[in-house]
Amino acid sequence: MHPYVIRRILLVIPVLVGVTVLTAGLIRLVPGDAIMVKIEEAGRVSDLAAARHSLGLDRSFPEQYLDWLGGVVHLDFGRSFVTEQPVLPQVLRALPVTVELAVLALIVAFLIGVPLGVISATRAGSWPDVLGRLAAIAGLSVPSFWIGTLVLLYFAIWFRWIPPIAYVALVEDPWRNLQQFAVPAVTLGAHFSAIAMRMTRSALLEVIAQEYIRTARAKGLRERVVFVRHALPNAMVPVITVLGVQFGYLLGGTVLIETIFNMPGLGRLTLDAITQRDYPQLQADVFVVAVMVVMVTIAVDLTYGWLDPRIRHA
Amino acid sequence: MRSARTVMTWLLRRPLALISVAIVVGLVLAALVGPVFVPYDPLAQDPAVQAKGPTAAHPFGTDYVGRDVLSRVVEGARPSLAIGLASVSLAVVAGSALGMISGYLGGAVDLLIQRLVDILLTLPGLVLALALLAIVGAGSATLVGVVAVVLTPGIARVVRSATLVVATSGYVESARAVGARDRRILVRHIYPNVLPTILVLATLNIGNAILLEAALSFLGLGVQPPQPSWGNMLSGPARAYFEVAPWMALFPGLGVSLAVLGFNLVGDTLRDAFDPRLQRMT
Repeated sequence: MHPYVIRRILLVIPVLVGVTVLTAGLIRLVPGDAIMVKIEEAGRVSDLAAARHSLGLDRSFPEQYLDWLGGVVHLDFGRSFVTEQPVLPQVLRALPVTVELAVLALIVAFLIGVPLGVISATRAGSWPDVLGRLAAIAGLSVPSFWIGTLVLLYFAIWFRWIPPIAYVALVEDPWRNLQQFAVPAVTLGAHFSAIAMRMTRSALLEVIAQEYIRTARAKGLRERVVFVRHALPNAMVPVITVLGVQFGYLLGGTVLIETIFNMPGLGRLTLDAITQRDYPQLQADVFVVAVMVVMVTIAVDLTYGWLDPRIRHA
Repeated sequence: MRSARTVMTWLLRRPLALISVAIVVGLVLAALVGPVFVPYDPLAQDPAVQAKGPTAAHPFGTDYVGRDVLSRVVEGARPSLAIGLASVSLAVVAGSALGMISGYLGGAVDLLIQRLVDILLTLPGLVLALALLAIVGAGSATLVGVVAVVLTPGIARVVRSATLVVATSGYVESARAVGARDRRILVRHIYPNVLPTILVLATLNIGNAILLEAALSFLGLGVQPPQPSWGNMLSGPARAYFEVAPWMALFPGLGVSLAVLGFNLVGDTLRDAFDPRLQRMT
């Protein structure tokens, strides 16, 4: 493997350790623990010390963390404090929901953002361009949880349509699944299509000022061909980078979207784990999210070098 | 931009900039003097007009306990603006200091700060905010600190890359050659040159801060009822009434969107005015 790739992957390890120490530490600072939450819910007092001991909560933080880390190396993420079931299957059940939501949102972002960016850049300074830019900034300014609420609300009022409630996996019934995901994905994707539009526009404007574009025009190629075949591929490099950098925000956004649309994904699992002080569940959720974020970051870095050979990874 | 007249001519040639200034000025007015002019007490419940649509008496309608939505939306400008400005001020000071030190000193300090930034940026901001708020408790004051913590690493990263550009330029090297100390170079040479980047980041982040505040209040961890905020008006028991009273959902969200749009447009305008090349970094 290329030394740069190896170095990038090795640099991931301290980041992942840092993220997990931070998560495990922060959640233990939250007042109350899983036992207190259970007692509040059940309304009876049991043997506190024994219950804490059975969950290992009586040990010091470094002990608890290292024990957890030792398990992770063997892909053993422990058992939930609440359901007492292993947490990994829970995460793996929720993961496809969040990943599908994120991927569909990115597809929406590309399908809306890139064409609008091209239109804006080819007519820079004109009214369509000003309107397109205004629409993009508006897209960045509108809270997704509000748009989600409004869409559900007005679909129900105007069309008497409510998305199917019980979650159906994509492999089981693709049509029903896409019906469920369409509105949440567009809601989440709107924000990112605005980012894609702005990046496409500015990158394209920068690319068409370059000499090889003048050459392409000079040899008599039609303007459309110049744009689509020569300018657009190079302009896509920064667009992909920026969307890759935004991937973490996208996963954060799924917390709100899954809450509003009642979807059994990783975001909601994480939110519930925080409320219930379910340490093993939260640590597993955040670990998986962190692994996804760093993998996407590395993938974007490598794509960048591959799309633009001038960038040498020294 | 030497006089007010020049600023006005410059603004008039840019309709988007003019709109943005109008929105921000309107917002500040709403926050400062709005409560004096609104027709009703935003907390006063009137059982006679529960969940009634827009009328001349209540232009934005009333909510499920008969409170005037217009008065509440105007009242909501204050916590949003206050929390947005306060948290961004904190984040900009902390992020700029970390970014400049990291970029200028390099070496082990840079490595340490950048790994810390990596760690904080790897955690989705909303999840980090939720965990922090669970620790320090929900409320307006804690919200300022939490939003600042979430925004700081992103600012530090961009300020660092701007610092790297300045630090390798000839005049910083000459300053060092004549024996200027690090602190003097940072304050006299680096800081003035990264200031435009910092200002653009600050305005663009006010929008992000307002969005984050609204999202956290929406999830019940921000501004606490009965104090109205744009986020908390969209959550809690109110949601059960949206289908019969959609104006309860419509207007608070419009408040957030307009406020964020205003600051984002100001940020964009500033960026174009300072340096078009900044577009790549922010």
